[in-house]
Parts: sequence; C-alpha cells; structure tokens
Amino acid sequence: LTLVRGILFVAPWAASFLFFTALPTFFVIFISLTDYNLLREPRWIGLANYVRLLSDPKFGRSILVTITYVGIAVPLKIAVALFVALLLRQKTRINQRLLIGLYVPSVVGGMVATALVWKYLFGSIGPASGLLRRLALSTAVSVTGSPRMALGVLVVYSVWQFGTAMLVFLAALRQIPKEQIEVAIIEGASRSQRLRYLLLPAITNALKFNVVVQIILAATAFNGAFLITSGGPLDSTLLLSLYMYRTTFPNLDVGYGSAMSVVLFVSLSLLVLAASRSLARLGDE
Amino acid sequence: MNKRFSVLSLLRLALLIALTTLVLLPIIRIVLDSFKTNMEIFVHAHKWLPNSLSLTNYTKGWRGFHGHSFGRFLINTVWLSVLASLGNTFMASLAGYGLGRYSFRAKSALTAMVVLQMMIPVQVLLVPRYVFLSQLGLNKGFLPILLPQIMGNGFFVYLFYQFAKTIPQDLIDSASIDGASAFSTYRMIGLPLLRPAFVLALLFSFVWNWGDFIQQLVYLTEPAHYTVSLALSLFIDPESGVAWGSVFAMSSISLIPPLVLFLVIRNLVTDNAALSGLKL
Repeated sequence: LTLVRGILFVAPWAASFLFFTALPTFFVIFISLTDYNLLREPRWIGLANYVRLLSDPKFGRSILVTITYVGIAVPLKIAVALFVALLLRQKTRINQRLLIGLYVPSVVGGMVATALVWKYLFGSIGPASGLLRRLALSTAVSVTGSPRMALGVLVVYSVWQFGTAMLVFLAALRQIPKEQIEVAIIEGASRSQRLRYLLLPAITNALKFNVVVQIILAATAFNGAFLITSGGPLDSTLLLSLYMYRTTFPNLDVGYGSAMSVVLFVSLSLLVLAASRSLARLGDE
Repeated sequence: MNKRFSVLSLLRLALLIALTTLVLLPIIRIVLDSFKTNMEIFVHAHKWLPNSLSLTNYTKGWRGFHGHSFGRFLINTVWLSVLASLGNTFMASLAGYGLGRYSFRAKSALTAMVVLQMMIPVQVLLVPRYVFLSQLGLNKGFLPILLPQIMGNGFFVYLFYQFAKTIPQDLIDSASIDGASAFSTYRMIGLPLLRPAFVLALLFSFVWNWGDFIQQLVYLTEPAHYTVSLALSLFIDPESGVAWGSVFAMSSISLIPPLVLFLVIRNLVTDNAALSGLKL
C-alpha cells in the first residue's frame, strides 16, 4: 500500500519525464534517420544524414569550435571558482556579503540582457575593445569581430558565471572541521601541505560534480554564440548548438539537425562518463 | 606571526573586493548606459558615468514593436514565469517528497534520470516536443514552453528529495497513527519542513523562465506572445542597426525581478545552492 501511495506522488513527474524527455529523445533518433522538414511526412533515408555529417566542413568546424570552447572554458571556470571559494572559506560577515555580489552574475548571466551588454562591451564601439586597443593588446576594431579573439569573449562570458561552481566548492570546504585545520597548523603543516592533504580530499566530490555539470553546460551553451557573436566572424564561434539550431529552425532541415543532436548527445554522454570515471579514480587514491 | 596573517587577510580581502567589483561591472554598465544619449553611447564609450539622467531611452524602448508596448512583453513574461514556477514547484515537491518519504531505493534511478534530463540539451527536444503537442492540438501560445515543465522538472525533484530525506520518520509515523492520509501528511508535515526547498524552487524556476531564450525563440512566433527576452533580442536588428539606448533601458527593467527576488532570499540561496546542484 505504501508503494502505491509513493507511486501516486511520483506519477505526474514520471509521466511528464516520459512524455516530454524520454520519448522525444527516441523520436529524435528516428527523425535523424529521415528527411524531414516539419511540413510533410518524414521520409526514411537510413544513415544518409550521418554520412552527410562526415563531409560537411561546417559541421567539422563547429565540432572543433565546441571542443575548444569546452576545453578552455570548463577548466578555467572551475579553477576560478575554486580559487575564489578558497579565499571565501571563512564564514565572516564581509565574506558573506561579497559572496552575494560574486554570485549575482550566475543569477542573471543566462538572460538576454546580460548577453547583450557583453556584445556591446566587446563590440566595435564597446569600451572593452577600446581598452584592449589602448593597452596595445589588440589591433582589432572589435574583439567580437576578430576571428582569433571572438571565442575568447564567449569563454570569459562563461567564466564570469562561476558562482554556482563556487558555492559547491564552498559548501565542501566549509564542512572541514576547524579543529583539523588548527591541528595541522600546530603540527607545522605548510600552506601547500594543508592544501594537498586536507582541502583537496575534502573537495573531490564537489570537483567531480562541477566538472560534470560544467561540461554539460558548456557543450550545450547557446545564448552567447547566438547573441554576442552570431557564430561569427568566419564561423570562429559557431558552436555545435548554434549550427544545430540554424539547421533545424530557419532552414527546417530537421532530419539533418536531429542527426547532429544525436551526435551531440552521444558524445556528451561518453565524455561525462569518462570524466566521472577518471575523477572517481582520483577519489580512491 | 600575527602581523603576517593580518597582512595576508587584508590582501585577500582587497582581492575579493576587486573581484566582486569586476564581475558586477557589466551589470552596473547596463544601468548607467540606460541613461545615456546615443552620442554618449556611440562616441564616448570609455566614459562610465552619464552626463545627465535622460529617460529618453526608457520612453523609446517602452514603445516596443509591432503595435505592442514593452509592457505587454513584461506581462507575458510574468504570466509565463509565474505559471511555470508554481506548477513546477508543486509537482516537483510531490515527487521529491514521495521519493524521499517512501524511499523505494529511488536514489540511483532518480539521479540517472536527472543527469539524463540535464544531458539532453533542450535544443534536441524542441522539435519532437512540438510534434507531439501539435498532434494533441496543444501547440498554441505558451503551452509548448509551459506543459513540459509544469509537471515537475528533474532538478527540483532532486532538490525536494534532498530535503525530504531529512524529515524524521517518527514525525510521519505519528501523523499516520493519528489517521492522517498520505496527502494530508504531506500537507501538514511535508509542506512546513520543505519550506526552504519551496522557496528555492520557486525562485529558480521563475528566474530560468524569466531569462529563458531558446524555447521562446522557437515557440513564440506571434508578436502578441513575445517575451522580454525576445523583445530585447529584437532590438539587435542587423538591418536597421542596434538601438543600444533602448536595449540598456529595457534590459535594466528586465533585471529587476530576478535580482530583487534573489536579494530577498540571498542567504537561503547561498547556503543551499550546492545541495541541489542548481545549474549555471
């Protein structure tokens, strides 16, 4: 009887998960094997969409851009989050105030409003572009207009929202008993020794969690590429999610777009699996 | 020794204050520039403070597009975000409470489901969801955005589950002995104890819908249904040039609800965000 009651509580969510997440996922796999444009019935074409991916230079480009973006943004964001969390470890009043300010970008960072101000700041009339020119760090008229630097803007935009990763680290760090740290100091452990033997083991789970979540978020990031750089210049910021969107929606090449979805989903699953496996081993040592 | 420590902590504090200022600069810039004239925005971009507090950008931006004022877009966004967060939070609380309370070894399955839900990018689901809903005639207006989430999002189910696990079994047993039904136990004991989870889920669900872009971009095709996100993105028109003044003015307005809500419950968020692994 308890089981029946429990199921009743969970049923609405489970049903909606099935209908809006699980079934659509299978449906995407089916569509990816067809030629489909939303208007007429899907036509079965087997693996043709996948074969087409292999010879599509734009797809290759978008994969490369996405890997570069994930490869730089994720470690950088996690490093910044950990660094700031270490600085904030003591729960003093001023630290708690600063914490609020440091978390604000994570609250509003996903909004169109903030993406657009980044577009402005690093665009041709923007103060950030002007500053970089004056410091002679760049000769480009605008940072977002430079094929070499535009992806960098998206990376910084992502790292800017380090707040949640920081809170996850902070929660782990603050669980270390004060006495342990005091004992370590009395016994003469150096700063780096305390970091290595006391702090790092305590944050292994937080690190694992952050890596997995941030990989997923970075690999599916869309707003920055769409709003700040529009994928340009010269496709230098054409993230896979943006190419997928353009193929599927304005062009209505839904079958082909779905094939990209499947590739993204499968490679992301493998990446997340690999990441959590190797990090789990780190924890066992 | 003590002196060295205080120098270090002073340095640390200075670094933290500098960092906090740095990350807040883009947001401060939005507000400052919303009062600037076009001349100031386009020519004197290196200056931070506006020459005067001109409200022209606000009146211009408020005019909106296609015969709808920005007020219309604000109201649309409020409706969408409120309905989504109410439905989402209530249903997720039921599921999370059920899983935590009746504990049928749910944890690993639930975690797998949540991770799966996170891993399937929403872009992937937009087309099949739309196809399913059109079959049922439920593809109009806000429905394709609302329906998938008002039955509970995995993130929030997980959040409620984490809180529900901590409810002492004795408390629930004593209520059952008193003859309370499963649902009234949830109402009388679950609801008060899950309060922090409710507040967090309401806030995050509201903020995500308020700021969501890609779903609105794909599903909302009629100007009468446009949201704040869509309206803002339309100010960036590659053909007629960017109306930066209007962008900043309306952006400032759009930042108010999420920021105010966050500041009201800031301590709850910073103490618990890690628990739930809320995204971003």
